[in-house]
Amino acid sequence: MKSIKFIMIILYVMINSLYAQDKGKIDNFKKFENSFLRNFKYPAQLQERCIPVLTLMVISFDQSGKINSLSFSDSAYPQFIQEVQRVRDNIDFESLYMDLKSMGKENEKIIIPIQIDTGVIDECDSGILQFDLINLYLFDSKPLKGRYFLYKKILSKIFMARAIS
Amino acid sequence: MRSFLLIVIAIIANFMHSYAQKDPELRNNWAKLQSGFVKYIRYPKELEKASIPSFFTLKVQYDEKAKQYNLEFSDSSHPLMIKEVLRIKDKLDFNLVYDDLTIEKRDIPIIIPIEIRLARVSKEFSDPKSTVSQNLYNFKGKQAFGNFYFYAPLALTVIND
Repeated sequence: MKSIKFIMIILYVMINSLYAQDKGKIDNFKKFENSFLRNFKYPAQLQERCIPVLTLMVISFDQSGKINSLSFSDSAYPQFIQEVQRVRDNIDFESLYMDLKSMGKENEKIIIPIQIDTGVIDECDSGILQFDLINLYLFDSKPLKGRYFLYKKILSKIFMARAIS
Repeated sequence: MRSFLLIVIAIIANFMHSYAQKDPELRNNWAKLQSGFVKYIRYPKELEKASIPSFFTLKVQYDEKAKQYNLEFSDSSHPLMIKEVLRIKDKLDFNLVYDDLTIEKRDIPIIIPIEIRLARVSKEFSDPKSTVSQNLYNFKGKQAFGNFYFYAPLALTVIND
């Protein structure tokens, strides 16, 4: 009876620690994703024309966890890049770094696919064009090549409603 | 006489080796893979008639034991295109990718985007409900996650009516 109790306790601790580890990972990604979407304001010029965001974000960190380089593939519109640069300091890249560190991947070049659909309610809804997909893998007109760590994607929808006049 | 002949052969071999290294045409492994792809692939008539382009990810993993490449197709690929790529699989030399990236160990899979671009594209393809872009990195419903070697897309443009 004592040994059964002992086994049960060990099983309980093991399940709990696994769950806690898993939860920790998800939380770090969610923290980063939430801060990205919370700070990012969909550029009005793109939203009015129902132009979605589809791009690959490539990021690398230095030894201290600061961003070394941050770039977007050619399918990203300049308005989107400007907006990310504007809110860059408010995005929780630290959580992303911590998540990568917990996996021992903090020195890798990271790819985060981003898709943000948009539109104006009762007017238009964005769709991905062939043109967007062709430019998705290009960086300054050159195809992406080499070793990367493919991370989870950011997938969201940001719609606008017109005020009733 | 024999040693003279050997020296001449050695000089020619050395010259050819350095020439191959310098010649970008001989070094361009992607161009070789791409030309093989364009030469053998036949875009399924059903997709061409329906003006549906193809954009998907090919995950290539080398099986050390079986000495062969295993292919996986992202969820954005049409079953007819999976069938077509599998038909020409043996004509595509994936060793060229590892040669191009100068990788000796083949334990990390390669990600190759496949793009069949059409001159005329159906409205359905760019419909807001389309899941093509969302499924580019999904394999059997799960997103690819981890280290990969990314490679330049293999592309074909089809002029459809």
